[in-house]
Amino acid sequence: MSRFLRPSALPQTKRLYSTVQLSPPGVSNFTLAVRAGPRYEPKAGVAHALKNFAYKSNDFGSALRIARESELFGAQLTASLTREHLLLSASCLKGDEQRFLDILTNVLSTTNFHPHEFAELVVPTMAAESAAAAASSTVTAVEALHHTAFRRGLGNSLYASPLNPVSAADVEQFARTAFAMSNIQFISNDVSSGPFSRKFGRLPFNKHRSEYHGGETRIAMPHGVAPTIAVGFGQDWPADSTLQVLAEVLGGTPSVKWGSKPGILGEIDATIETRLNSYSDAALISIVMTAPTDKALAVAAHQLRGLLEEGFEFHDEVVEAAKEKVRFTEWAKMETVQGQIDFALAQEIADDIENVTTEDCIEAMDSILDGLPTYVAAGDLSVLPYADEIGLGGGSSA
Amino acid sequence: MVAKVPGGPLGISFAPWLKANMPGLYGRLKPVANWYCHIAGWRQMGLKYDDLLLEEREDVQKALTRLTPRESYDRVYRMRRAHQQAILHKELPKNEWITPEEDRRYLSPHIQSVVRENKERAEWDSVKVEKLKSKK
Repeated sequence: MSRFLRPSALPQTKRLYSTVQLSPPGVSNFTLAVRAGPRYEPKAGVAHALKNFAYKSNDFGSALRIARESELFGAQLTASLTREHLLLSASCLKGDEQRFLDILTNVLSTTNFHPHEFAELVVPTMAAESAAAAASSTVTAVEALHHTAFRRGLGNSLYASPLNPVSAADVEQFARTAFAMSNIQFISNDVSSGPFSRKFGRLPFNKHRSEYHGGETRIAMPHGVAPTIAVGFGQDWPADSTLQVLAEVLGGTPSVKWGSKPGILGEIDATIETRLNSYSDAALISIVMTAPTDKALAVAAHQLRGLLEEGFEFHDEVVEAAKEKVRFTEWAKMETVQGQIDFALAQEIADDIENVTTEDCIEAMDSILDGLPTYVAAGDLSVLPYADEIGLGGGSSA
Repeated sequence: MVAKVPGGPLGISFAPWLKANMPGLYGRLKPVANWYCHIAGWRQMGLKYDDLLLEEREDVQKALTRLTPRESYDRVYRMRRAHQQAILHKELPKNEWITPEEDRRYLSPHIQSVVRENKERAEWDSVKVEKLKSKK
């Protein structure tokens, strides 16, 4: 019957125009940072849902249109979440900036928050991300570390939990408060940014000051998952460059694969990552130790106890090397888009690295050891030691 | 598999065209339409018009998932009640009939949005991209 193709039987076509500019070549990256991280969420998991609601249908067009158009224009749209910020980023070819700037601003101003999109598109991705996070002992441990250290606010998890259901209406309500002009910062490498090129304004809603508490959390992980012990030393005021150097002095992450592990914690037989988690009004040095088996990790934890009991020795050359590493990291940041975002959002630190002395580091170490350390064990709880067994209990300050 | 019904899941209707182009005629036909809806008898069996839509289609099935839990529950309740009345060969008592005000199109907007989404996807799947030549 259908031997002849009628024009109406042909699939409909849509024409899309793009201005192709070959010079100057290059890519524009820009990001809208919104203070809408889990720290500010009124209900657990709402920030994670809001992140996944980015680039869903809005007055600009449907989710499909946003996705297909960015593909056709050779651009990338991403949404990511830190504890304090929701980051909406676009990388596009030069010349297409206006279009993608429109897409980003539409996400903030006109997202529809349809309940059916929430159920069909947002919840499945959210559930997958939460499941992936829960399956990793390291991610679980770092989440628990923040929760134990800061309890509420910064202690809120980056991942929604099935135990705390969230609805599309909750997300919309949070978006209405969070997407205020004073809450948005525009970060770009070269777009002429106009009215957006400014820093955050005053917080339009109540923000609880972060308080560092510390304590211990033990989480059973399924058999076969590499166990993790996370130790945190925190403070409820922003980090300074001394703390940044101190994190490197503790170190433990080799610069070369199979190389010797630098820093004081390098002696411990486990994979160690020491990080300074820096926030607007708090900081947390996290030492994340992983080993292939629970027994090996328990041995490593006792090695940490030995180091703590002996007292850390701060050699001048270790401190100097750490300062160089910090300076390198700061400069290397500027080479990547993510680093530029971090740099733009960071508190003013790392400007006086040269002036940090060994005495400063010793003083900073003493000061953070005065507080109660945070300790998280994630793995086989019958094998992994308790905090007081490795000298991290409440009695250490006495 | 989508059943072959002319006019998509909602069938063919001249009403929107008539309403837009010949409002006078639409106004005169409306009482006839209301009378037809009454004698067709679904309200007497406790059903709403949208309960009668053909649901053995993927797009309608998807639209059904978008009903609120309450709407979904009420729909099933009305259907079970109508089945029971069909077995008894009886209409509901008059005070339980669905009134014209209650006979709201609760499902059609969802079906229309699913149809729109499918159409948009088909369009994007067959999109032709043209480069705009830069001016010299």
